[in-house]
Amino acid sequence: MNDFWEELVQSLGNLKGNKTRSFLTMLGVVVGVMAIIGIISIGEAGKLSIKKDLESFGSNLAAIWADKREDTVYKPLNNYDVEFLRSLPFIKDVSPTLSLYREVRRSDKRLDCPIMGVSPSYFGLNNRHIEKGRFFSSFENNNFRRVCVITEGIKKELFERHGIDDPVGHVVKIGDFPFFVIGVMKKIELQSFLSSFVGEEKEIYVPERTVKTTFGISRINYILFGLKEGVKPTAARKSLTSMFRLRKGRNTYYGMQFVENQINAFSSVMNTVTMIITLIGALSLFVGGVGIMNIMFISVTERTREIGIRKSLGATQVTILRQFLNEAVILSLLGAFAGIAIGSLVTLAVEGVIKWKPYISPGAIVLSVFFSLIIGVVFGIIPAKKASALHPIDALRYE
Amino acid sequence: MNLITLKKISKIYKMGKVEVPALVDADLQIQKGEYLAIMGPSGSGKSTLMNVLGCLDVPTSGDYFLDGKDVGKLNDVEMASIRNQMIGFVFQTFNLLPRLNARKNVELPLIYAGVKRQERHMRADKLLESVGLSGRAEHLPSELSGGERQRVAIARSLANDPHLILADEPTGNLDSKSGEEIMKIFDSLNKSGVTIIVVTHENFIAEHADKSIHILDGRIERIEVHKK
Repeated sequence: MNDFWEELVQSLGNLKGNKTRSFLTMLGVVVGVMAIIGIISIGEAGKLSIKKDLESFGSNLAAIWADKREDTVYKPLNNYDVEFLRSLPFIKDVSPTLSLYREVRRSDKRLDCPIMGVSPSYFGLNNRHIEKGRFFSSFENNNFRRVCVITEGIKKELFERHGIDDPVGHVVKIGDFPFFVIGVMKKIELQSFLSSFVGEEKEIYVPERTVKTTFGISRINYILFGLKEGVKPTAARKSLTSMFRLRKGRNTYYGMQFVENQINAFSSVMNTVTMIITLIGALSLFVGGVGIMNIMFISVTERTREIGIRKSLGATQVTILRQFLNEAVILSLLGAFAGIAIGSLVTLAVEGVIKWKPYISPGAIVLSVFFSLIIGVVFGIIPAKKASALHPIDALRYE
Repeated sequence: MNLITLKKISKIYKMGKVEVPALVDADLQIQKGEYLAIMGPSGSGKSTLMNVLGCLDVPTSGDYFLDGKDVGKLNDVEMASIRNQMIGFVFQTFNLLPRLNARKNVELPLIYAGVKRQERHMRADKLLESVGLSGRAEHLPSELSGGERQRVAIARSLANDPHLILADEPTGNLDSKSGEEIMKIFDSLNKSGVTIIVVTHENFIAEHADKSIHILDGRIERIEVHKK
């Protein structure tokens, strides 16, 4: 029989004749495919959004800080270290970061908040943008100007609540010293769960040299720096470690962190999680396949007489084999398509609830169709073989 | 020329350790265009003989030549092709596929023969018309009377213009009027040159044939020629 279409129509007819059973048989495959589609899509979407967030901090961003271990002494970072880092060929930009707490006042409003002493390159390194006004310049830093850039939270607490929409040009008192507000920073926009860690910022950014002269503080908490394009974090860490040992002494220790490493570490964790849950989905597909095999066996037994009739009319073993294999494959593929449809809807709903960009993994769709096809063939072939091997007269006599 | 030659055909069933001979050393020759009845009480081996003739069952020993071919040497595909092209079966219980309508049932042998859809459709309708069922093509077997079902089965058996029609108690499940109509169809088919073998245990059915082969305990007892 070379009329493939006719074969399909007849197989579909047989499955339609047993609607409830066909549906229940497909269910295992449906659930398996749903799991695979949902998990891989949500996993990939999560990975993408978190990666994007991490990259929004600047994917070549890194930090170094003085640390103390059991066998080392604590030796803080200083201006010479900043200049040293700036001079290295694989480093693009550097900003020391000094932080302190001071009371901030505007007329009779008071607020305790962290003051961040940074150099102008800090904003570029961190991919930060200005909403109103401007960032401070090197000139202002070098000349210890008392200017500041405030964040969303400060703007709300000290200005908006009291009827001032644009704080630029106003004066706030940090400790005992008046500072000009020259800019308001744009909020960090994150899509992943990382946003819950960030929250509303309530910091004030001040030129680092101004911090040193005004508040008499010189201890650098950490130095932010950007690696040049193509520099590997591992290589940078290695050479910085040995260079700092030379500079600061063998008994010192400096901690380092690289955003790129964080991204990679996070990706590999996500990959493992996705793989494990995909395996569970595949397992469910496998169980679905056993269900199909079970039903196909029952179907072969029930239709023994039909097989006999078909053989008496000229069906060959191959024809019968193909008929039953077709049915198994149709069952598993229909299950796969239903699973893809339902799984996609559920996935989109979930992504909608957690406010991610809607995303369905095309790879997951290809994977589940491919898997289901294999399952249909593998679990269909044994019952189909049994059917095709029946002797015509034994099949015809079967009651 | 002989359409069928049987030489010492035996069929022995094994029931555990006991061997039950269903057919013993059957020798038979059937000419093209003959009209033959196989008669005998139930359990006599007449159905076994028919199954062997129809290539549905394989004899334990002996040679079977069908249209010059040694059937014992054929493989599955060749056997299937013989059942498809050379033989048409009509069964006591009709053996229609319940989920397919009359036309689709008649089309089955045509599908296996690789006939294209449109021609299949046309030929099935023509065959149904020839057995007086032109208006019933879309009906399911369950929507047809016994006599109508058997006529669908006959139409199906004729689908590929076979040399040989094998009918196993074709009227056994029918009332006498429908049975008589079925036999009339066989009569006219035989007149048009088709070889017909009817298995029956009823004399008035056997009388339609040119001769009757009487079987008892697996052996061909005698061949009786009917005068018409």
